[in-house]
Amino acid sequence: MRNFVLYALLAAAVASCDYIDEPFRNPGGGGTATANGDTVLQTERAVLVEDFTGHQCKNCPKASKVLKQLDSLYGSAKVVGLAIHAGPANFTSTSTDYPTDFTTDDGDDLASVFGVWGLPLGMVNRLDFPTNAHLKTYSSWGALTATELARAPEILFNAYSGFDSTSRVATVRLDVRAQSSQSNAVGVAVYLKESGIVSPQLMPDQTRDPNYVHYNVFRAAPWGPFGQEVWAAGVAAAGLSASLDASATLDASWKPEHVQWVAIAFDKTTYRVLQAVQIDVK
Amino acid sequence: MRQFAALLLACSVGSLWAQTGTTDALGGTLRAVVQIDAQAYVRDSVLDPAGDYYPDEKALGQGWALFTYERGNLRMGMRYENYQNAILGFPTGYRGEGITYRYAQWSQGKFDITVGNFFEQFGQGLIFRAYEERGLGLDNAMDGSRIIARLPKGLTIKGVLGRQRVYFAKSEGILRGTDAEWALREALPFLDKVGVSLNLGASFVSKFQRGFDPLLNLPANVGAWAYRVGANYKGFNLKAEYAYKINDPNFDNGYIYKPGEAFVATATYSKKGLGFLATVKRIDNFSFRSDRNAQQFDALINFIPPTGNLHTYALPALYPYATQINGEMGYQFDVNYLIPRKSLLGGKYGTKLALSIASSQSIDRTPLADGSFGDKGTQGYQSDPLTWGQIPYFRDVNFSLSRKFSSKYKSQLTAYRFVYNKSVLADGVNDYAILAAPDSDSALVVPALAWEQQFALPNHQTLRTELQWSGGEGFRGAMAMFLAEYTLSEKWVVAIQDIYNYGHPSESRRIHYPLVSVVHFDGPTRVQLGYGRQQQGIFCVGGVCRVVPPSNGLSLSLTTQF
Repeated sequence: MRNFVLYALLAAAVASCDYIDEPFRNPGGGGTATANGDTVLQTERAVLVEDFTGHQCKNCPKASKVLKQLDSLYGSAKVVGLAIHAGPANFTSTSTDYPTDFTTDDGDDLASVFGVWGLPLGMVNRLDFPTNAHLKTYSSWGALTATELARAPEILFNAYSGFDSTSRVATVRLDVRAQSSQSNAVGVAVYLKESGIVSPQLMPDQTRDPNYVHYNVFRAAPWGPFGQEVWAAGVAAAGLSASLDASATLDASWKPEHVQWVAIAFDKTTYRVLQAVQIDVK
Repeated sequence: MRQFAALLLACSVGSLWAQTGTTDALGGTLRAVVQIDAQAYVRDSVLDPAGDYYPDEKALGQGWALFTYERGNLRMGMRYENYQNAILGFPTGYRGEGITYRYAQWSQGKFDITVGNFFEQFGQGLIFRAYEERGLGLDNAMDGSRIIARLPKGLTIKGVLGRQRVYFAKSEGILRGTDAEWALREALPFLDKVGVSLNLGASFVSKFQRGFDPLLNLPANVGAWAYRVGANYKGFNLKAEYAYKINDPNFDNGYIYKPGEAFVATATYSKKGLGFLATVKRIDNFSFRSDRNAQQFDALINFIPPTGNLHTYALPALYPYATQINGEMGYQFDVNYLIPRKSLLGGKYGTKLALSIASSQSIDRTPLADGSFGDKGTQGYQSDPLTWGQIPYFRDVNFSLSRKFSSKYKSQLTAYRFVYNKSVLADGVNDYAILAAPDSDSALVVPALAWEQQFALPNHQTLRTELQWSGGEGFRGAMAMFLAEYTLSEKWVVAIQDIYNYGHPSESRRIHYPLVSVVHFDGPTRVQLGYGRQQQGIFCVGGVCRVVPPSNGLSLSLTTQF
């Protein structure tokens, strides 16, 4: 009897273990040189706060500070900041004193669609578009963020990232999970942003800070500024889910450990952001 | 906290069943235990200025009832639970109502078979413990089958199969497990003659969860096994368990493939008036869940016993230790001594002294040969099992003196000194982040005192008071507390308490937390009504913790059984 039990235990042990040998990565899933990445599994609403900014805009550091405060108050799981260097050229263009070009074509497109006429201006979940009240000054971002966070989630993301340091290819898988019905079509856009960039910035007291640290700098929109449609009008219903994959090759000047994916699900008619998520590339 | 402990005690089912139950015509007995908790919240602009925690519902309530029917060798039961919605601080996954626990159990001869839900534990629980902590909202009951065979010569074999409860659903993973325990005393009579008790045990648990990930090659079947020994000779007692788990990339460990290891050993010695306890522990990457993506305490398969005392006084309890399942090394030493009665120092009734020293620290972690450190899809890190890590998590030194001065007065004084790593225990910062920026973590030193007195009054009335103080710079800041609990009769207890957070770093939070409560006992029924402020904190049972948000309002709790 005892032998039988021992054999049964041994058989069960051998049969019920999957030993995985290196490489642990799937072929085509991001290479093998250095396998990196992160996982974010959402259970609650997160809010997108977009900050249109420029390095020659003296009041823009004040808006960045509000974004930083929101991040420390709610955490990066709930508030997704995006600093888009776009808008009037006198604030965003380069010069000898401000040599870094933070502008991008995708960022310019976003500023153009949303009619950014001055800096700093921002949007919280792109609310109130296109009533011309959608561009908000930074003093209102806190209250709007709190109001948005209090709403029940409409869509949640699971995000899985990976990065191949040899090819500098970053990949992300997004599982989009509808929590309620949507009458309009739903789109998903993905962006890349970088933080910790040291570059000059004009400060509120008109001085130039050569060692200013820029956060949440919008870098690229691999699917374009408004991404792709996930569900047609009237299709999205609670329990429905979809999987999307995105990838991008990081520019040689970007530091992968400071780059994050940002993904948003939005109402394709009103542009209202239904959910946002950010995840480290590496 | 004391009231809470009393409430849990009142809810403990087994001890109360002996006196209750209804017998039917077939000779079967039906028993039930019921508990209802409700809270009506008051919007408190001092406690919660932005209203972040104030619930939309304004009042929340939840309840459960456990029914058990026993007849001969058969035992059946079910539990109904409802949450409309779960009270603040309880996991929000509990929402709605339904029968969450039902089972039938048949015992005959050597065999004991259960189908449906059951709780079970192998050894100390390092690789398998299905259990519940109602106060925490933790319930990972199995739903499946269990067979226990009690064979001759002291051998007991258990087999379990099923899935775990996760709120009103079940975990994605399937669990299979088996355990063998051999009480050598029954097989080898000479051990019995010399008074030695020796138990050997081994267990194996495997989980299956489909492994789909766009980036990783995931193991669908993850096995873990454990060996244990228990020995007892006169006043000495020793128990030790070692467990190993194969590659199990999961959310907790950042999806690394390093195998996990765990070791816990406890030795105790006791004789009249004197007791010692010594525990050592090392945990390395031992989060084991039936869903690799689960968080908090969802779908936990195992349980890592905590090293350190569970403090019941309110202020020391604000600095609890949460077991670090990704890795920790720790020890605990306790000494209890009773200065004999009728001696110079012991007094008429004797004086109890207790000293406890507990410490938990990170394990040694160094980067892999290729320079990567904790990266997803790698072995993660290297660790020398005999080297301590650099990050202190928690230290607790406490000393208590308790003495009964007369038949009408007794007193207990306890002094504490905590080292509490807020970054790790409250903010959840991992070792990699702290090692990358040494000294970025904030390890607070918190001294505390608690003085409890009990006065016996005429007409069987009693008065119990507590004076507590805790210090420390930053985080919660210094606090003082007073509690008076007046037992008017066997049926009525009235308590009033106030915590004053006079040293909070933020001036606006230097506030009072008053609380009044009335408890009424009527046979097996206990009703508690309370009104006041609840401080934000972390509530832990057995090293498993949840965050309690601040609240203000009226609470009602009712427990009864028949």
